[in-house]
Amino acid sequence: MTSPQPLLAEAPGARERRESRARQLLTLNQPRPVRVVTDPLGRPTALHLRGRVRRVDHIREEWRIDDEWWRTPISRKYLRVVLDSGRLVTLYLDLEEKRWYLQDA
Amino acid sequence: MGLCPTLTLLEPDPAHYDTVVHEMVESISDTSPVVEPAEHGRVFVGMDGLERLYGPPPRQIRRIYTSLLRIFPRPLVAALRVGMAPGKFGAWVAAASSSPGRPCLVSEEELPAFLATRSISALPVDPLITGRLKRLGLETLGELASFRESDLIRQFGLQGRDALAWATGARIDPVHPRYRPRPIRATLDFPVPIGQTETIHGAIHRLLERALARPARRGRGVLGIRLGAHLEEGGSWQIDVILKDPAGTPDPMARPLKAKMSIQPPPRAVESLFVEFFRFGPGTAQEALFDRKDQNGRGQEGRTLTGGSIPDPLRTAVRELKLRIGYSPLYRVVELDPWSRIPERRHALMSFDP
Repeated sequence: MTSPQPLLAEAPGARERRESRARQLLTLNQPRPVRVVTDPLGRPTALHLRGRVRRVDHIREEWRIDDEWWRTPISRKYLRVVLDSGRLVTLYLDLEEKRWYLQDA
Repeated sequence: MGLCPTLTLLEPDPAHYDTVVHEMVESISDTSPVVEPAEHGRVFVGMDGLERLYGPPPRQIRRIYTSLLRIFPRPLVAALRVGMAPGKFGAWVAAASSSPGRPCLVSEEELPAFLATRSISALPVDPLITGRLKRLGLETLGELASFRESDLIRQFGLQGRDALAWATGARIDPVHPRYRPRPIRATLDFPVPIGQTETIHGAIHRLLERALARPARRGRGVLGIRLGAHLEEGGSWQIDVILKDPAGTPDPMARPLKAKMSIQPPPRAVESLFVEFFRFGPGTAQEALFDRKDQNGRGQEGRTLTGGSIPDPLRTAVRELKLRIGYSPLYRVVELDPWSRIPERRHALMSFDP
């Protein structure tokens, strides 16, 4: 007995790619790289969001995560900042890579 | 009553108030198609682009008065307070500053100066914020406008920014014409007035079933329900319920109606009862996917899939999708390590293929 054919036509290989993706476990809330302008003390003063520069009005909260030192160390400095538009954004500085990321925390 | 023997107490008649507001809005709609009723007694009318039809603003206002005189007595219309300004906030402040029969007209150029002298109590923000502003010694919108936006955001959050935009006249909030779906109504007249709660509950179920069966309701879920009654010895009673999710069966509608009715019961026996659907949402076919039926055909509570059993409608839907596109495109959110300090380790999407 053959399996039924899909009713919608699609490009060769597209179905396999989607099936393979469907089988994967997709983690949620992955960090997204972001360009950040900092002051001489390393505190963010502006972010590039969707092609626009957003000024940081003030830093509301700050915390640090250090974990998994026994394999690939994770060391992050999280900041919850208020932008000039009033929007609340969480970002972190990866202290190993020295790169900034956006992430909901 | 002892102090004032001539005092006459009138029973509230919400059904009558609704009818009057409806008539008022209908009447004003003859002048402008953009009418937004805000609450009982307050209506916003968009007059943009009507100059060539009706003339300058004073003549536009006169036309509104004329249309209202067709349905209301002259003393009532004379008591109206009318304001005209760019945006709803400006118009409302202008109306509050006017006196009956003397409309207050504010042009776009005059708006910042006009607002600057008004009280901060006019701001449509949380009263706690206006209370704090007053304790800080601020009395007028002009004093508030002298602050920096970032300072107000820091103190009051987004409402601080909104307050500044309104105080300076920078925010011109347009009038949104009301979307008015035709309500669906079912009525039941009782041969004798009834007061027993159980009888009213039974009648609610019958009315909901009748209203749901109307062809006009098909394909739409119900979001807003009004239950009302005409009472013995005159007067009326009604309660409104807004549902969180659109419903298409009587039970999820009857529960909140009965709960609200237990808090706010009809004050007297009921002569006739009606149910009216006045707000609609999308159809409820998606919800039906999560319906579970036990062996006796009765529904079971809950839409979670963690209980182990997958509802039959959902299983069938996934089978159809696989037939059409070759695989199941549905995912479910699973917990990996919900208390992890690292946010991306907490939850994941897993393919859902029952």
